[in-house]
Amino acid sequence: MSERNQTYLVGPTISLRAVEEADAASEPSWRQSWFPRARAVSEAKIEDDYAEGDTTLVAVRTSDDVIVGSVLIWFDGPWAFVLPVAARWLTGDETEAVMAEMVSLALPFLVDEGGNIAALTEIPSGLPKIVDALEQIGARFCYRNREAMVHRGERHDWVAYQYFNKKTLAVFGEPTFTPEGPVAREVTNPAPKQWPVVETPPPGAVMIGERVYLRMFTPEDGEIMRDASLTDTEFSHDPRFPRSGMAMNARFRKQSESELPTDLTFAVVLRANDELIGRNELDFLDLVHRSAETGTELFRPEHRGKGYGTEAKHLLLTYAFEVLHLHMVWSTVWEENPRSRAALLKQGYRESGSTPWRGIHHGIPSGDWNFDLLASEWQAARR
Amino acid sequence: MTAAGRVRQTYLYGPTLHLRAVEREDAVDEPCWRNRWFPRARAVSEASIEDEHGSDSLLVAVRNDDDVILGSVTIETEGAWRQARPFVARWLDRAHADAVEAEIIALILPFLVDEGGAITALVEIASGKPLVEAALDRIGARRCYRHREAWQLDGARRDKLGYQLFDGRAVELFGEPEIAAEEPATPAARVPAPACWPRVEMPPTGAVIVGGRLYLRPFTPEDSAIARDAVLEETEFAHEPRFPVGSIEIRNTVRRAADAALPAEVIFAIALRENDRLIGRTKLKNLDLVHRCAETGTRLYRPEDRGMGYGTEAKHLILGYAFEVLNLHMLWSQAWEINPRSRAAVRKQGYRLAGTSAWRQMHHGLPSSDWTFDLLASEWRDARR
Repeated sequence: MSERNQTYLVGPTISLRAVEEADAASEPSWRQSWFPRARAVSEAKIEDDYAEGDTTLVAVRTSDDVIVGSVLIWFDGPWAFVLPVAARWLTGDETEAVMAEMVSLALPFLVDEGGNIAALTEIPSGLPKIVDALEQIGARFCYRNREAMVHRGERHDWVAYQYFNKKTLAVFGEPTFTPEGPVAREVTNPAPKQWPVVETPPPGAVMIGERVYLRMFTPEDGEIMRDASLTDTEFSHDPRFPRSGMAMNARFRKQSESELPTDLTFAVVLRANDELIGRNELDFLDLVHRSAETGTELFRPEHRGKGYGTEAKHLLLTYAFEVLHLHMVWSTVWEENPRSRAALLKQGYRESGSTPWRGIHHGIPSGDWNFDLLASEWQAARR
Repeated sequence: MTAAGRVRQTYLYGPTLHLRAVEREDAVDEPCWRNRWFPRARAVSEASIEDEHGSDSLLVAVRNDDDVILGSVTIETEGAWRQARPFVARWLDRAHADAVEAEIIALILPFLVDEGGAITALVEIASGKPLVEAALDRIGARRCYRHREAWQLDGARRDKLGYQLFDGRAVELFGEPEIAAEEPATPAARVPAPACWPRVEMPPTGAVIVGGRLYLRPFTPEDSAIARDAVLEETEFAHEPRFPVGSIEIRNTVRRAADAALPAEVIFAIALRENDRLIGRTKLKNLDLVHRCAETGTRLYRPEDRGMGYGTEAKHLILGYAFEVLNLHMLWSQAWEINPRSRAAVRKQGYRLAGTSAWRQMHHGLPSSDWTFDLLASEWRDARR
């Protein structure tokens, strides 16, 4: 039994508490990483990694203080994301039970007590105990990204449930859910069967299409992106905001300094005149789950609606599926941006549901549409 | 034309391309030649190129006509043995890419062996590339092994084929190297992994995966003295000759592997459940999360712990980690031909003999080879009982 007497975030068999220095010894039971670290590294880094942000809570068995997992909590304004993970030495049944208890504790805590408008969790499909636990606390199904993750050696869907704030519901009413779209669907703008044969590539090109190519960012690009951000006429997800060229250069430089980047961003450039017109990217890139989120931005209005974004997206998907060998990608679109939604559907993405109340805009909860696309579907649609 | 292109080179020239050293200006075209999964922002390429390519282990492949960079070859040296790793720019279409790869290989292998005096040079290629295989046949390289489904190319899985070119003079002296024929199918594992790992009430401290008698955990600073003492009292050697190693070196090796965001090596300590005694280590080497493959290696430190089934249990625990956590597709392993116990162990665990990595080292002045083995995740899963 624990010497500390915790009075909240305590469930029938586990409690959730902050990471302590002594937890370095049992780090493989709770740290959300594919690679357990040597003890010397855990002990040297635990303070820097977990002293700030209160974003990881370890799940401790109340009967004997054994650590059995953790939840990663990530806030975005008044909204929270919760990712549970169980120790790898637990059996399948125990894993499910621990994850169920963690989300049942964390979601109401963040919303009913913490005052967030909603908290979302993603869980592997096919684990009914967790779904039961989520339904018992009143969480609701939001989206399903097919085959997006691997759990105990088998591919599963990522299934998202969201727990909504009752006081916010009383003010704004029921959120609107978008149902999942069908798997069979028409792809009006598929990738070409083959990319063109290139004689002389543009400098630094990674992937080359008919009209655009992808390359990595150069220091000179910062100024172009800054100028575009200063003259933007609309915004696709986050409000437009003046950006510094230096900050954008630093962002892409830092991504490239990591051996295992979680974000990989390409510059989208016109073949005709080497003009930088936008960027696209793989975010939340995970080589074990073999999945990532895709995102695209064309900087200036005159380049939108001409098919450049779609060609650039298919070049990015070629990189994702044929070079990095990802199994699937997903995407999210702000529900007030129907143009991006239409573009994704034409490119072959499927509506996988929605995340109502993903943030607050003008004091009103506002959500995202969610989409998924399997590598096999993208390949089959090529023509 | 690049600055480097203006200098006329007189060797390593092929019909359409030549191989030259990396120059500073090549940072601009780094995605065409740097053999990595993630291209880098130009600022990082320019800042790192000198430190990373100050040695002569990488040559860029440049088109003779117009100095456009089409790929590269990385050369690894180990004693009198070489391995060449070709890379082709991703913007090339498949037919041109294969032609470039074929020409790079046809230039570099004879250069390393016939001119450089290496006893052999190895290159690994993806299956399904007749142009590249024909080039290897033309220069007299021999196919030595096949690791099934080890790579992915253009979104599909391919076998990885090992070809070697042998030094003619060395062959005259030592005779043709013996290449083991690969087994047609995986033998049934005589000691497969259990259908499930035991239910654990109280996990040992730091345990990652727990088996019936053993568990795997990360190394602790205290382990290095135990590993050092075992090395100092070693009675035999599995691959490399035994050699005294200090605890500092052991600690550093483990810490460096754990410090990397994308480790090429994942090392676990093997400990007995009954008394937490450290008895060995097991690891995944040459880990590649895109190809989803790695090499496995296991070592039990002391003779008294060998032959008791600990090595096999530890191997199945790390295979569980490789296949069920990291989602790898296949693994391979090597065993020195003078070490039949290791060969027997991996075959018992379900690995298939995939051929020979021939003349991998010189031992007592004679070339000496490794057997090489492969194992698919699906085979390991099917064998569990």
